[in-house]
Amino acid sequence: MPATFQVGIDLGTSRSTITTSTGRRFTTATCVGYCKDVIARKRFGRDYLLGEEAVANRLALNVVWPLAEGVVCEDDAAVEATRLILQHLLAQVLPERQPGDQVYAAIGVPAQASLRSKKIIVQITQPLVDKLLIVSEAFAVAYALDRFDECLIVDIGAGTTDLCRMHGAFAEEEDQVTLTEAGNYLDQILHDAILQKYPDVQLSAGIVRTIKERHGYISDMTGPVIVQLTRQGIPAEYDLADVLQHSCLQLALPISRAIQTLVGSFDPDFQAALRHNIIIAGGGSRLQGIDKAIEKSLAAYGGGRATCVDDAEFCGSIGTLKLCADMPDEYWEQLYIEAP
Amino acid sequence: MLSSVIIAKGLFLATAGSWVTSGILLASVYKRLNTLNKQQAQQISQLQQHQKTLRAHLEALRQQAEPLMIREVSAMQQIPAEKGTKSAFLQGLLKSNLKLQQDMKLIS
Repeated sequence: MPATFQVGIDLGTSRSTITTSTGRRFTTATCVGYCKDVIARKRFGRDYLLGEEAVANRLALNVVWPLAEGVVCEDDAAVEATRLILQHLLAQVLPERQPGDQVYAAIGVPAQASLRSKKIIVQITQPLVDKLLIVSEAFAVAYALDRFDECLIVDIGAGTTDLCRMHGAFAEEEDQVTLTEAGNYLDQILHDAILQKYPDVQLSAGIVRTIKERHGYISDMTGPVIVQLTRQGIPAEYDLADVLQHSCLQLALPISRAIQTLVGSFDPDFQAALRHNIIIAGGGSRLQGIDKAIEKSLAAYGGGRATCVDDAEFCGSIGTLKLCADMPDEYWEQLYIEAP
Repeated sequence: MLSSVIIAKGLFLATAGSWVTSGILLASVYKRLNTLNKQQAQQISQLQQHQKTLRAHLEALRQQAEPLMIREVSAMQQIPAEKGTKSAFLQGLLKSNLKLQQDMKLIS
């Protein structure tokens, strides 16, 4: 008898995750590396590498990161790369899938992704699954946490920061905000700030991301943050404390402003409840002190409380999986997005 | 003549003796200083380790406490997510996906 599998997918600009009804979960870098030449093809025995393997061998590959600002880029290479990544995610978590088995999937997309971007996602996913549900990423986080009333979800990804106001009813367009100030934006600011302070140090996107992930903070910490960098190949130690704090603040400020806008335009009777239930998710929630910085920014509005989710990496895919699992069969039947 | 030679030899031996004694004392002082430095470095390292453990513990406590606080706030301000609430959300999601299907037909 054919089996039915439910999967929740969070297709992110930097990392993609998948969680299944069989209890498996998997995460990978959202990239595909195509072999640069015949030597590389011979070395790897394949035309392309995926995820971390592609990142590790990037010198011999042309690496494609198909998602920018949270949505699939519209060129053929990006569409094909996204298809390969989705295929890879499904293969990793559903090795037992047999022909005839059904896969019901829910995919998280940025709250304000365009119709065209959603259509591209649907077209790519169509041949890989049997039923598909498109969900706003921030809404998926709320669903994962069972938070439907008076709370504000702030999902800080690499390409976008999605904010969603939950008020006991289905979130409408005016309840959601998508900002392009997110992880990649911070990487760029940090990159420029480091070079401004130490013009000769050698940086790559990977180095900057590692510095951010290990040392990124917004709180009022004192003391040096010593990082080893190279200058013309010579390693030396550099203090990045002020650079890190200043750069991370550049990310916190637009997010705080968006929170203030969503709170300020909400029913005044419920604004306090909203301010006191801010939930920060996504990779950006790992920045030390982001919760406190947001709380501080709400002081003029009467204060607030922000909390970071425990499982920043999988929270989105857990939410989409839960939605998949709770969706009644009669609802699925109405969705015509089926494999051709 | 002989007596002055004896006196000179005596003085030489006394001076050499005091140098040797000073040398031994100096070596002992250096050794002790070295031991103290090592002990101090060890203690600093232990203290740093202890501080790190305490920080991690504090962070764990903070993380444990905050969801509780949030839940307390939620308990006061929110209606628990019941089956009915979830169904309403799922219905909303279905509607938005059906609308998406319609809209997608309109674009090439």
